[in-house]
Parts: sequence; C-alpha cells; structure tokens
Amino acid sequence: MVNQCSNCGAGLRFDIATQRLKCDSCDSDFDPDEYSRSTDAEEDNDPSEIEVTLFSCPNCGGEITSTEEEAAQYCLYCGSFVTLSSRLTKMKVPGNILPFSRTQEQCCESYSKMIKRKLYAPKEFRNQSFIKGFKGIYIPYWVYDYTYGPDVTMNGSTSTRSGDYIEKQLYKIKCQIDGRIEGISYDASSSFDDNISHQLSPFASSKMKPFNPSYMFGFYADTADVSEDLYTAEADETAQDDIWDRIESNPEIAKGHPDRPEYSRFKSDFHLKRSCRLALLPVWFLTWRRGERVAYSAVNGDSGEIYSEIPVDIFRYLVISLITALPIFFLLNAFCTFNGSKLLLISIILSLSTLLIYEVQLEKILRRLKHADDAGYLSVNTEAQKDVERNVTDNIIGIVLDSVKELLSFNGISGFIGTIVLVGGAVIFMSEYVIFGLLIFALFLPIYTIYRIVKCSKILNDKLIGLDIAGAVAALVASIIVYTLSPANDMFYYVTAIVCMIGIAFTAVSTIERYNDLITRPVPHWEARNR
Amino acid sequence: MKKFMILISTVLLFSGLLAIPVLAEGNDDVPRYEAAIWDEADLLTDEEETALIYEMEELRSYGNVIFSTTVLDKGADYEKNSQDLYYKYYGNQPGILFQIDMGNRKLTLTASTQMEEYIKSERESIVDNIYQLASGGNYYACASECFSEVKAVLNDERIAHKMKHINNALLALILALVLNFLLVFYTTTKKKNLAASLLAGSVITGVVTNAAVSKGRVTKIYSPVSSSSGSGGSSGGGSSGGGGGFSGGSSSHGF
Repeated sequence: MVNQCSNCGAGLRFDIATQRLKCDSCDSDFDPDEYSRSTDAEEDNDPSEIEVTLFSCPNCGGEITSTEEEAAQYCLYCGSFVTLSSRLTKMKVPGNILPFSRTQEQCCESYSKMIKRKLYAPKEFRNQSFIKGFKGIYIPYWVYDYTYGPDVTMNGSTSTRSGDYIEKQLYKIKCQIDGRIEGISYDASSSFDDNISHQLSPFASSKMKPFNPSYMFGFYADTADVSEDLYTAEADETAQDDIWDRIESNPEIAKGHPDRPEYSRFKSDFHLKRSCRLALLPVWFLTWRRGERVAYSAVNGDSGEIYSEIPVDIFRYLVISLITALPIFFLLNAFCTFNGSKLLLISIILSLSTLLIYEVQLEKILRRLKHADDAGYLSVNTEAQKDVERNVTDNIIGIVLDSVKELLSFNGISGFIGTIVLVGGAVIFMSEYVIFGLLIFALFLPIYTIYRIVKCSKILNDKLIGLDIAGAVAALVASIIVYTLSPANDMFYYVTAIVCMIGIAFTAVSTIERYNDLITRPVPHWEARNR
Repeated sequence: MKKFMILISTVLLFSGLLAIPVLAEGNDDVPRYEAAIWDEADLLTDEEETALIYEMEELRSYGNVIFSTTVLDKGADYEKNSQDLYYKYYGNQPGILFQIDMGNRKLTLTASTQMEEYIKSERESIVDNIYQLASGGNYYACASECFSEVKAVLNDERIAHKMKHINNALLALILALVLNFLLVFYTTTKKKNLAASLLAGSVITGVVTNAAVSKGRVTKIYSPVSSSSGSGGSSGGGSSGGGGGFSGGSSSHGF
C-alpha cells in the first residue's frame, strides 16, 4: 500500500484535526479520497483486497496490521516493548471505515480528567508519560442493517371478563411502514474483549464512510476473525425490540392492542431483511502492565467514550479508609454505645459480609478467566467454550447449596444490604423470629461461601485463597462460639470483637487484591489466528 | 360554767390543731413516690438494707426507687418479669427497679415513663459498669453503685463507658474499609444497557402511514369465578383489654 507524499516521497499520515493526509516532511496535505483515487489508478489492485503489513508479537502472539512497513516496537496487547515480527499480507477490504475524529491530545486530556476522579488508582495511571502512550487502532466490527415494510400486518387482542366467561376480541392491524435500522455493531476480533467493545459503544453509524485505506495511514488495525453469524441472533433481537417499541407507541396502531409475535412470524409479518458489512471503527488503546498482569484502557476515537481497567492501589485504599474512619468514629461516639454482645453481633455480620463479597469476586475472576462473557473469544476457541459449559457445581452438595442460594438470591451488594436489613431489624426490634432467621442465614452463608471458595481455589490453582479468608472465618467462628456461650465477663466479648475486627480487616484487604485480579488480566497468549 | 366553757374551747382548739395535718394531707397534690427493698433472695443484711434505703431516698423525688432480689426459674424472661413486677405495684408511675435474679444470674435495670426518658441512653452502660460487683458477691455495693450512677445520670454527670472509644474506633475502621470497598465496586461495575447504546449509534427511520385497525371475531372461554369468597368477616378477637401495659425499658447483664 503506497502512502508516500507525491511531493517529497516521505510517509503520509492521516491528520485527525484537519481530516486530511499530511506530510510531516514538507507540510503538504491531501484529500484522503482524492489521494486514494489517484493511487488506485496507478496501481493495478484487486479492489477486494489491500496489502498491509502484519505484525506479530513474539511474546503473546497478538497480531495487528498497518499500512506502514516500519517495524513496530511495542505490542498493544501484552504491553511488551519488543520488535514485532512482520510480513506482508493481503487484507480483505472492509465495507466502511469511521475515521478518527478525536485526536490523541483530546483523548489524553479526557483520560486525565477521568483518572483524577479515581481516588484509588495507582500513581502510574496519573503519570503523563504513561497517558501519552495511547495508540490509535482500528477495530473490525460487524455492522448489521435492517429494513422492514412497506406493507405490515399484525394481530391484536384484548380480554375482558363477562360473568363466568372471558371474552377475547381479536383485531387485524394493517399499516405501511418504510423502516430502516442501520449500524447495530459488534466487534469482529476475538482478541478485542467484547466487554470493552460494549462499553465503548455507540459508534455513530451516520459518520461511517466507504472504506478508504488513506484513513488508516499512521494507525494500526486489528483483523476480523469472528464469524458474522455469531451476533446475528442478538442483533435481530435488538432490532426487533426497537421496531416493536415504535409500533406500540403509535397511537393508531395501539387501538388494535397488537400482540408481539415470535421472531420468525415477526420477520414475515414485517418483511424484515438483514444485511451485514464489515467496518473499521476507531479506538485509542493503552496497556498498563505489572509483572504478568495487564490492564487495558480504551477511548472511542469518535465519541470519546472511555473504558478503563483501573486496579486499586492498596496503600491509597488503606489511607483513604483511615481518613473515612474519622468522621464515622465521631458519629459512633456521639450516638452509639455498644455493649460487648452487640459488638460481637456486628462482628458476625461484618465477617459474613466480607466473606460473601470475597466469594463474589472469585466467581467473577473465574468467569473472566474462562472468557465466559466474551462471545467473540469463545467462538474461535472451542476448548474454552467447553470449559464454560462445564459447571463449577458438579456434585450434589454444590447443587443443594446453589439451589438454596438461588432461593435466598444472594448477590454481592444486595446480599450485603439484605444482611444489614435483617440484622438491623434484629438489633432494633429484638424479634425472636428475626434473630432466628439471622442464625439460619449465619449458619448457611459461611458454609456456602467457604464451599464455593474452596472450589474456586482448586480451579484457580491458588492455595493462598485459604489464607485470604482465614481471618474472616476465624472471626466468624470465634464470634459465634462466644455469643452462644454468653459468658458473664465482658472482656471475653471485647477481646473476641477486637480479634474479629483484625481478621475482617485482613480479609477486606485480601478482597481488594482479588478485586485487582478481577480488574486486570493475565498477559494474553494467542495461538496463530486463523484468518 | 366558765370552767366548762374553757374546757370545751380547749378541746375544740386541740381538735382543730390535730385536724390541720389531715387537711394539709388532703390538699397535697405532689405525688409521693416510694423507695422500697424487696429482698426475696435474702442477699442483704439488715444494716445493708438500712444503708441502701437511705441512698435510694435521694432519688425519690424523681420517681419510685425499688431494689428487688429474686430467684426465677432458669430460662425465665427476667426483663419481662422485672417490668411486670414494677407495673403490678406502680402502674405507669415514673420510677426505676433494679433487680438481681439469682436463678439466671442476671442484673436488670428497669425504668418507667419519665425515668426511662432520663436514663434510657445510659441504662446499658450502668449495668455494664456494675455487674462485676455482683460477680464478686458484693450485692450491696452493686446496688449502691447502680443507684449512684442513676443519680449521676439524672444530675447530668458523666459515667464510665468501658471500652467505648476502642470499640468505636475499631468499628469505624472496619466500616470504613467495607464502605470504601463498596465504593470501589460500585464505581467500576456500572455496565451500560448494551441494546440502548447500540441503537444510539444507529440510524433509525420508520414512518407509519395508513394504519387501519379492524375488529375480528370474539372468542369466549368459560372460566367461572371462584365461589369460595367466604364470609370475610372479621375474626373478632384481639383482647380489647384495658390499660396499656408497662411503658419503659430494661437493660440486663449476666454476672
């Protein structure tokens, strides 16, 4: 692919601010579309393909393409500063491209503003030289377009009761609609996590242009290795939902109380047609690496939407917690006096909640490791897909415990709030039934949580998990024993409460470390991608 | 005759003098509270009772002041027993009752109406401060200290709060750790409504014209309404019994 200045022969790049091709050597600039037409005329190219340089990282196997031949010295995916191996290859021409409209400076500025609000972020994230490391990359997306109409027929009905009979009035609704939905997009690269692409959306479909390689000058591009069929069901459902919302909100049609049909009937009633095209969409990408963990930050190169995986700096977390503790201490001193047994009860609640939050983190880590929420990755990795289908719960104990969990609907935050409400009620009203319910909850939850944590530690092959929760478990057991024995001397309660609080603090800090495991990723390793 | 008149006058005068206190009592609207010791478990000596009643007298202006010892059955509701006992003799008059239950080895401090308002926030601390005296068998000192601390609270003086600052400091730190974690969790797990954001970037057009709705047939399905509506009448009941019961609160501690 020729991207040389016709005046001086130096390399051209796409300048985002002016939206023109610029030569940094002689300051010439060119219209990208005119430049592309003139070079196509000179070269005898197959219009369905373009020649690009494919760069492969020797560390992680990650691949990116570029219109330039100059060796790349940095891998976006694993954050390694290493010379990438390169070879020329042909890339299928996508249908559209959305040029970058946010410059790198604008990207860095908005990122800097965002990171200032992140109290717990490590200091490297605030470092300007780190933030300036954003690299522009075009990510391939499958873009689904729909047309429907013009003649649409629907059925409707209403039901009323008349004595012992239910009368159902049927309606026939006909109308004419000339409808289009263009630009429902999903990323087409298995190496670009679906969670990241979802958070970066939307990309403005109206700004997409017919593909022109000139817009790629100076940027990298990922390549599509995910089938367009993967997302058709989800795209169809999104389109159907939107169409049906518009239909129902039309006052004339609403008179007929339309009944929504299932998809195949909907498709025929509405003459729904789908088409799909490949588009390159702009993303600014930044990798933070510490040891064998990476964290990605991405900025939508058109809208400026930011996605960032930001781990928690433990020291900052502890300092901020200490500062937060001061007003809480003054409030407690002013309004509360807890005796030994109430303090122990509070210790029980907090140990349970800490264990529950820890378990939730582990479950999410497991899902992240298995790429359970990354359909693109699973579509090209059949072993990973089988692994996700294999349930962690594989014996009767797990099934029973999971069923009870479903019944009680535990969920990280809501479980914690539920605990507070239940125990708050017990403390305030001292109702026997509330206390009984609390004891059942207190017995079941640690058993369930510990069971799940042991299971997760085997899958994660990490024995240190036992150490993480030892504090909270010891706190819980000691609290329950002392509370049950109910000794007369207050010192038993106070000493146990102090030991419990220390144990809970230890597990809370471990939970933050696990949270960091969740937020960051292991350095990726890909096999050669099938293109 | 003259001596008879002087005698009659003297008798009348003397009777009048005797009547004054009675009349005075009849006109006295200030409630009279009691201080009493009911030592059913026989924990105090006579001397100790005398000394204690003298101390309790100082609180009588606020309400009834009772010290009770008893031997309840194991597992009995000692707090309710204490409240019922006070209510039985004094109804809703203001007052306090300090009870030592040797059966369950529990101290209970009960306060009624206005007294409860005064000492409610410190009841727990008072029993926490005195239980060790009862543990050591020094029941007189325990009761004396109890009434002494009640008096201090009523006079707006400070009483000891054992371990309060250390407990609150630890609790504050743990709550801060958990709250900050929840803040981290909340600010980083906000997920977008994917469908909404995908459609936000899409170009969507759709104009509806010539909408026509026509009625079709009507179908009828037999579905009888359930006839088990029942009488629905109120079940009555609920004792409408009078009084309102004990009004106040209690705090207990083992020893």
